[in-house]
Amino acid sequence: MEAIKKKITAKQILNWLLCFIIIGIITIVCNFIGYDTGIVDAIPGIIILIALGTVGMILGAVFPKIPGTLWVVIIAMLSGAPIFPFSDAVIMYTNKIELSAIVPAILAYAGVAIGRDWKSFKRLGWRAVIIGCIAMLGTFFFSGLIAEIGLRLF
Amino acid sequence: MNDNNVKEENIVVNENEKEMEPTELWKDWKLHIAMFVCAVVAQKIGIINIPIGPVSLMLMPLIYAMVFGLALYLIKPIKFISTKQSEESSPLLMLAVMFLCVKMGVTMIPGLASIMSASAILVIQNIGNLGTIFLALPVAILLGCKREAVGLSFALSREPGIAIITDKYGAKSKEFQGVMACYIVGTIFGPVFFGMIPGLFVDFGWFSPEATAMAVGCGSTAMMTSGLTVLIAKFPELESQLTGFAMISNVISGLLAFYLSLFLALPITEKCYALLTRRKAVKAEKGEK
Repeated sequence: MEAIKKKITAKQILNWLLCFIIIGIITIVCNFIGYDTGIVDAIPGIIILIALGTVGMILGAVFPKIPGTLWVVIIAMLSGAPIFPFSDAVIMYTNKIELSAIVPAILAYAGVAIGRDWKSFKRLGWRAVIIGCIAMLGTFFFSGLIAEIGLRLF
Repeated sequence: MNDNNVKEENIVVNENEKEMEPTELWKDWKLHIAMFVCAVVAQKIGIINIPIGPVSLMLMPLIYAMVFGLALYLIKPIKFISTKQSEESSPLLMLAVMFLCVKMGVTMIPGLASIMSASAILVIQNIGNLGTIFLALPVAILLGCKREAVGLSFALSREPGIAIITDKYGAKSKEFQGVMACYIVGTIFGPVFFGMIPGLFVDFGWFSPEATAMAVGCGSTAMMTSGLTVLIAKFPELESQLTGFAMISNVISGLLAFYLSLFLALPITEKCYALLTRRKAVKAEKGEK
């Protein structure tokens, strides 16, 4: 029982925090380059994102039944909801960080992470690539079609 | 309450354990500096807009960032990014996604009302996952795939899909080869694909931005992010709503994907496979149980 449970230690929390800070730094610089938001202006927003993200990670580890991403979204939405006393500040400061400024960091790590799959990818051959792309197209197209019809009807 | 007790015990127990998930990811400063450079250079290049007639293909910085990261791993002379760093990158990637989720959670608040009113559609559009079968399976069979076609085309295979196929057919089966192939193609081409195709659907006026946002949520987080950034670049005034639709759709499909694949997609794929290959009796039964 206990072995299944995800364990958290102070060391791990520190690790999350420091990783978030690294990602935060990359984000701030991307934000500055892409959207001209001053680095100092962006710092409070980044601190909020780091804090909420760390809380989300801890909750995700303590209550693993609910995926971490869902925890993070719930916490973020609560802290920006009017019932939370500092919600205005949370929204104001996080608005200074553009969504698209966070993304390059994510995909850069993703690029390194998928490097391991590259060998098996090269062995796949063109058929798998074509079918894989059609599989993506199929899901995208039919999901979009249902959503489009649904949105038009209601 | 119970959880708290367990947690405290665990902290004591784990003080001298070493084999748990890596806790010193932040120390690999060479990797982080390299990633910093990748992201910043990508951002510096910015959005490249390629007009093709009435539509425009938008290349987002995230695509270059991914290509740079992959290139760093593949270029042999660069020793400080190898298998170890690649393994470290997976949890780091997850943390970075968390970071993004916080931002998305706050961003979608103003659009919450319209998201709530569309909640039924957000759930129902997940059935679109089944569309994969009708498009990909015939092509797979036409191209001469045998049993691997089932794994390749039963769903937009992410982790739950692999789990299902492994459980049903085993890790040495043809079906497993297929599902892994689809997974790898999705991982590598997914962000590129979702960075290009959904934008075209909107430009042509086939899908509204809202419907497209829901549809880009159907795959992995990287796919969603890629599609969403393009949509936001095209419709900055709808940022909150689009973020909400994509994010919620992604969460819902994450929750539903397993059951949808297991109870609907896979049996349907088996039926279609049997029908298309005209080897009905034997194969259909195998698909049932």
